[in-house]
Amino acid sequence: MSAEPMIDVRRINVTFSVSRGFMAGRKPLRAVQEVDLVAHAGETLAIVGESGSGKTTLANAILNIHPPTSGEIFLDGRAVRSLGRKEFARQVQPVFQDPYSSLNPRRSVGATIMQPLIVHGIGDHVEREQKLLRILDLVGLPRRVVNALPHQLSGGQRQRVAIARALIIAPKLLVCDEPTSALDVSVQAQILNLLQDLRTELGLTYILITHNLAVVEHIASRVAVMYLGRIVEEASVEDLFRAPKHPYTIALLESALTPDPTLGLPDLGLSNVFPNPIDPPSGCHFHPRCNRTFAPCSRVAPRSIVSDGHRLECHLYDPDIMSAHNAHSGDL
Amino acid sequence: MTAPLLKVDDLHVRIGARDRQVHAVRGISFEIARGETLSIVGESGCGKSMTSLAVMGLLPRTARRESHGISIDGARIDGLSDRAMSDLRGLKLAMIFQEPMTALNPVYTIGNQLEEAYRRHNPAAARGDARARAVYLLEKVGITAASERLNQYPHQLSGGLRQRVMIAMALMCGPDLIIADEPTTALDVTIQAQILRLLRDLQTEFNLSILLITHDLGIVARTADKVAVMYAGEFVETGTAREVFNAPAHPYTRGLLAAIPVPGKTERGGKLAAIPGTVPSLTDHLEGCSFFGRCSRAVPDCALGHVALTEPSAGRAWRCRRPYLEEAAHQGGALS
Ligand SMILES: Nc1ncnc2c1ncn2[C@@H]1O[C@H](COP(=O)(O)OP(=O)(O)O)[C@@H](O)[C@H]1O
Ligand SMILES: Nc1ncnc2c1ncn2[C@@H]1O[C@H](COP(=O)(O)OP(=O)(O)O)[C@@H](O)[C@H]1O
Ligand code: SF4
Ligand SMILES: [Mg+2]
Ligand SMILES: [Mg+2]
Repeated sequence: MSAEPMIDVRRINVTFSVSRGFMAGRKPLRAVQEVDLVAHAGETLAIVGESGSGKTTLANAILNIHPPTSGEIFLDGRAVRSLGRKEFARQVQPVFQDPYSSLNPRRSVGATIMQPLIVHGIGDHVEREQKLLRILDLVGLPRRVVNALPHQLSGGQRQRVAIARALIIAPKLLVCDEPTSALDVSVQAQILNLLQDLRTELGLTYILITHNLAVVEHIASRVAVMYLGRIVEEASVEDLFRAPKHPYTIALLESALTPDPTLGLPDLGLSNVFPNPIDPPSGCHFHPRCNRTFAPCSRVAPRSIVSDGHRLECHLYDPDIMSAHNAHSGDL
Repeated sequence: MTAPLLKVDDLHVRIGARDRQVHAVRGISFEIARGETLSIVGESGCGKSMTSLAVMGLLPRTARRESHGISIDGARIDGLSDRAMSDLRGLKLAMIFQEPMTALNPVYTIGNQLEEAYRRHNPAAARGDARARAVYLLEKVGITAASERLNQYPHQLSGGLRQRVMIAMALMCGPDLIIADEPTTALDVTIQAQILRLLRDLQTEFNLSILLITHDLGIVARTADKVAVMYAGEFVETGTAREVFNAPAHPYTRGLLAAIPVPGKTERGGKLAAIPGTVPSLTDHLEGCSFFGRCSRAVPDCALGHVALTEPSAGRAWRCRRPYLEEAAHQGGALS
């Protein structure tokens, strides 16, 4: 392989200790389990999965906001644990779903965007103002908004402010957690176009968390599918959309309702049971909902199968499990 | 022809004091036949929720409703007292909200709430009847071990299950019309697909009429018989789902469709057609077309007067002086 990956996540776990209610004591909740993930420079790596699957926890681990309980993350070949907070923050910045709650309501747009420069001690007053004006142009905000407060802006403008604030110290990697989920589709289109332009212009790498598969197909290059803390499938976007393998991924793709009136609603065939993350199902976490579950699924956790850069955790694709199952299925 | 199940004629909703009044719904009319789904689609703030609350008689106190008539099964309901309207809710028409907790009370069990919904309209019914109906409907909406669930509280259920309970509650008294305002917006996509299928199956089984309100064009295309595209308080385009999606005439409808990436159709990584500008303020009197200023086809005339509705056939209409007509006729499906 040529260069080091921009971000290299190696077998990380993030475990919370959660209270189970009055007098019930605390139990571990494994929000992220054994996650391996790599994003190369210039790539857009998407992370998809339902709510509670661990996407934000993974993002927070990558952002060093809540470091992993175990495992290691490398940025450009260097262990994140060994980097200072500021040194790390200069290279990796977040963009959150709801810019309204991530922006200080009493701080003007200009002060908000320039704040990272002050935190990192970059430039003098004049240079900071110049950077501000340049970044406003870059993200498509009119200069007259510098004195405005967040509530005076539209949702799309607020997301541009959040992006400008993330970019002003010229990071290499943006971690975007549902950046367009709170926006109307016409505004979502503006922000997606902007993210695309910025990526090519500035050579950025993105980790994009979203539940919208159409957005993934449109702007990502690789995609990881999470279910109950685990990455159950990971592939290039072309591969995953052309030939999804994991039963959960297949259900996700069928659930992406494209605006075609000749297609009806999909019949996913998933069971209507909802696992408890504190006490996840045995074997494959997905087996109680899976439409193809078979004997080994409730007993053995599927191992990771990799071929041609397409990785997944499902017994159906494990030749050893399948041959053993076929041999024994007579006496089960 | 029998009367449509729901008929709404020239509905207006105005909110707030006269000096800073929001004219949220600006003269919309529609009909829903028995067993049919009409979907109202539009971006946030266009007046969808005010429309649904106006039909339900549940507008906030600061809002005023005016119309030339709202009728169910041919009988006017817009003149009814609050009391009479409240008797009608649940019985004839019921609502499903985006957030089930707006309809479910956290301090009562699921069973209590379902039975109460039934007994309110059937005071003479035996307790056992209400309970039997609750179990029957919980099973209908795909909830396993229904009789055990009756003793659970709403917070003990996942979002998807709560939404199923709310659907069961809406069906307790066998209404003819369900108004569902963004019923799946808060749910994960796989659960969303399952809930929408459930609604469709229940619709077939009970011959329900559904008014489905959503901002999601995908949901509309996959579920609606008829579509109304709403913008700034008005319907700017109506038609069957096929008419509206395959041959959209209004520039706003086209703009919305071009703004969303569609796997396999939109060029990957290409520019999406964003709609420039923002929606007009609904506090003002709107002169000319409400989409003027954002529309790529606008001519100066569009800013003048009131743009009339063009209605080439019953139910098919648009409010635009420069609709995409040639293209619509030739296009047959493929949106560029
Ligand atoms: N600070 C926390 N303490 C305890 N549990 C948490 C915490 N943050 C997240 N979780 C739990 O971890 C799991 C993953 O959550 P999250 O990463 O937010 O998922 P997602 O972003 O995919 O919706 C969930 O079960 C959630 O309840
Ligand atoms: N309680 C209220 N007071 C004043 N204006 C309101 C109130 N509720 C809604 N509005 C306004 O009415 C318009 C329509 O709102 P709504 O029907 O909720 O839109 P939608 O459901 O399409 O998002 C919006 O411009 C909104 O700001
Ligand atoms: S391992 Fe079994 S239960 Fe899990 S996804 Fe594969 S078939 Fe389904
Ligand atoms: Mg999250
Ligand atoms: Mg609404």
